[in-house]
Amino acid sequence: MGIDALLEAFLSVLNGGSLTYLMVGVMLGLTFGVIPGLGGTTALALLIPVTYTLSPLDAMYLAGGVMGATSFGGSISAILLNTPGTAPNAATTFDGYPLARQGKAGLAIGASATASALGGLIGLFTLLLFIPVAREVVLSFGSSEFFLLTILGLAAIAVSVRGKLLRGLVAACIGLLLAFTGANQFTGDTRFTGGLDYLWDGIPLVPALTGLFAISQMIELALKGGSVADDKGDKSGAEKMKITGVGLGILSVFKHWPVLLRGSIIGTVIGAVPGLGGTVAAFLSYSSTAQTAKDRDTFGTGNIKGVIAPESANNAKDGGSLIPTVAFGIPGSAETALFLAILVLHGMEPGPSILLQNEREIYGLIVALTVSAISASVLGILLSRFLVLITRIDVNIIVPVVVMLSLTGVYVLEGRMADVLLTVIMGIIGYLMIRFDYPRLTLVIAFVLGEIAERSLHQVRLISEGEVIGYMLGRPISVILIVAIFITFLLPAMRKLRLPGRGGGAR
Amino acid sequence: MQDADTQDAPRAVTSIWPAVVLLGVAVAAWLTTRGYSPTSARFPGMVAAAMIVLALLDIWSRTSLPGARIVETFGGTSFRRREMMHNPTFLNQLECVGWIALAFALMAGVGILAASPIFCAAFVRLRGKRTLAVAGLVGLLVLGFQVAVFEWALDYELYRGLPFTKGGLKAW
Amino acid sequence: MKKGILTGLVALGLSVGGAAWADYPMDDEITFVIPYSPGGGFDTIVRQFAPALGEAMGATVVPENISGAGGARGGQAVHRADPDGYTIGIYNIPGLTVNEVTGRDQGFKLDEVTWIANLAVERYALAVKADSDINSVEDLCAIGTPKFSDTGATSTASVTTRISMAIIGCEIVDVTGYAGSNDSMIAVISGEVDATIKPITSLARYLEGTGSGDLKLILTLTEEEAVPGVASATDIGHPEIAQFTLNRVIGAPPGTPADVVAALEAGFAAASQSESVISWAEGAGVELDFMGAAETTAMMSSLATFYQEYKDLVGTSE
Repeated sequence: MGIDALLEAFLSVLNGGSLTYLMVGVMLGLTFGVIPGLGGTTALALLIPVTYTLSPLDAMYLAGGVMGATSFGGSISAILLNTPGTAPNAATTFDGYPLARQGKAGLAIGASATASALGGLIGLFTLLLFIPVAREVVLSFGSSEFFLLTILGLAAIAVSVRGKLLRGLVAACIGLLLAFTGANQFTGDTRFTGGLDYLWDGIPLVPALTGLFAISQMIELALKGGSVADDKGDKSGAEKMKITGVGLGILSVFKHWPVLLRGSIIGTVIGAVPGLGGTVAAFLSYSSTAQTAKDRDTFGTGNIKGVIAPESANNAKDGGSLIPTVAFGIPGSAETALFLAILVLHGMEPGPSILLQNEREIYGLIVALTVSAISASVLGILLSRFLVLITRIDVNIIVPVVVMLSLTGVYVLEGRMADVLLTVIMGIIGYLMIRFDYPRLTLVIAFVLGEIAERSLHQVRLISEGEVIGYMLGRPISVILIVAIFITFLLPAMRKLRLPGRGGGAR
Repeated sequence: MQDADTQDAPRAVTSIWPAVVLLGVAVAAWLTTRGYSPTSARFPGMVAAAMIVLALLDIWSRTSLPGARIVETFGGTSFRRREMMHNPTFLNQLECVGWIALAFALMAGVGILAASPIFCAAFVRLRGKRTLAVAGLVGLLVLGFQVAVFEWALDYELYRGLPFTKGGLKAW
Repeated sequence: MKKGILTGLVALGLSVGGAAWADYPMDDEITFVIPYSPGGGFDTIVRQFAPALGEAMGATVVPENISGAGGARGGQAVHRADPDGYTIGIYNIPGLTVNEVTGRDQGFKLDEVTWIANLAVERYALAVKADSDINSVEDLCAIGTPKFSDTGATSTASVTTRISMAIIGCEIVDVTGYAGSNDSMIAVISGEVDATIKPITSLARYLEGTGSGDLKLILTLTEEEAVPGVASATDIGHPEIAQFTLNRVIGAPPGTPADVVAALEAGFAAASQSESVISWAEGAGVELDFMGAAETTAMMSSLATFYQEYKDLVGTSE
């Protein structure tokens, strides 16, 4: 049944006016992706009322177009302005921005586009493979595995902030404290709210991240002056003017296919776990690539693998996040939640039998995601020649535009001016972190994971009646995760043992 | 450590004060958790306590007390490869933060549609020292985007400003 | 209870003779506040009712999502609006009632709201894994402190679970912290917990016949048999737990004039009879249960009294 439905969905896209909706979705997804503060979730939330008048299938094409294009759009601003367009692109800034400053933005965008498209395809292909066993996959991830996955993410923080471990851990603590703010779900108590009911639901993710990454970066850029790709310390002026390298970027993805594959697998798996999302997937993919690479010392200074790893994970997670959806009709991500909402709005009741009852819509979405991922990347490559010019524009023009658009984006998400205020505050905090050299990404990862970690450990304690360790050891996936956590911690130490002369010095 | 990069780092960055402020935050958070029920206090309390220890280590590594070098080596607290290599003056930093605050104040006061062109044009003209024509063009482009995408295409009413919104601050 | 009815009467009394409102609704838009983000149960029912309501009243009804603070922020927005009938909202009941009983300040009082109508009601049931040996509440309690799953300790489902199991006299552990109600049902399927109490419409997708057949019901929190072959609250000797329901209630700002209330009430009555709403409700398994303004106001007071009685259990567990 699967292949027939898939073919049918493909043909219907190519035939009708559906392609128009898909392309509108792609354009909107790219635009919303590029602008910090606006993302796929906002785009879909705004589109829901609009899709009310469309046929369910056209609504799927529109939604799929948006979902497939946003994360690549977000990588563009991550590379060119060191400002992730959407949260999951944060890891892309590590090596993407140094490349842009070296005048190799074209290389980075080419690699990002290719990694996004291929990562998306691998994710969807994995989804198709997993559809028959989707139920088992979802059922094998319980509270215990959730908890261990968050610990794996936190462990990766500790080892990936090379040279800045102590300040990275301090930032992680702040992130955890921010995550605990609000009404504690399992007791109902409110914490750190200072009596503001705005904080009952916790600190909202999108405003916090937009402030920490976009606004703070704009303050830093405004202070630096000039343009992005004009580093005063850099002498090779002629080198900078080259906008080529897009082709090399595309090729580099094929050259580093193991990185692509690893990123896509991590993206699919993390995507399949509801609540973890693209930020964690991209970060884990980056940190595991950086840790195991032979040239790991060049990561953070413009290593192309540091762009391929997060971007492939980022797009593969869309396929992964549909695994819980086809298994039980539950969302694996904020975007799939809104996709299900569109089905509900059209009078369908998604449930465990969604694949039987809504086959057309599900395959429609898969096709839309596929076409969208590819066309967004092709579009990006075609436009890259113009996009890299952004790095040559006076920052005094870029800064006000990005500030205004991202603050507007934050407002639009929930229609709350309080969110905009929070963004500004987080922007100032983020700037202080840049200034005083505290890594922002560790704060963000801890912030994203903190609440899930606390919640799932609480659940494991109740479920296991206090025998947490024994309970975990009885679950195969938990055991695998525990081993992975140990390896994450031990790998750097083992390396140090093998190379005793290198101790201490980060280069 | 006295290598070139570290020496480059401004005194304000390498001084103990950032770490002292964070220690204050950690202590305040820890004290706050004392008022919570045991289940609610468990995690935040642990994290705040850990942060107190880490902040103390951070302070230590920034001093010339005995052992500071060891903390620096094991904790990785050097200031090499900083994200921000330039060193703006305090007033310059204050001005930039002020611009962001102005953007917010304008949005809150006169609404997003009016604030967008005013802020962008003002920034380009006053901070960027560009001509009025460039400033006006940037402002109009941003306004055009906001109107076309949100107000028209998505039929979404952007914030109209405090005096023009029912409920005032409570509606935030 | 008395206080609520009194407020209702005062609201009615204040507006007697307000002939100036006879023109309502003019061709102005009626804003219909949804206190949650797009896509949830509240959002869906409002978007289904809005066109039918607009048609019945000859006005344009515009749904507006004002989410946050567990539905309190949307309620506040309606509360602040002018009582002219051009702003109405749907309320998270009994979620807000429960919050009020626990003493949480929500920025407005439920007994000040002008209640217009009750659109739908959902009833709860207790489900266990389909292939388990547990076939009755007795079996379940006999395994010794069975584990239940819920989202948050202040969620209506969790409050329902803790109070009703206490009334039955069965000691349980309510494992809270699941990300959504689906996740908490899947926890039963995966065997992480033993049972869960959820609205019947939510459980339906996992039941034999209406869904995947992963779960089975062993009790419905209803006075009479609601699902063939499944024990009701009366059958197990605790009819009082049938009081636990989930309601879709419409309200307007305090002091809304009586003829505006009457016009809205009539509009909702007509909308809930409309073909589009009825066919949607059938497809989605929603139980339409229209109640007018007076009946809704009375129900709101009796709910407050009911939850007040179990105040100690409403508070957080563990």
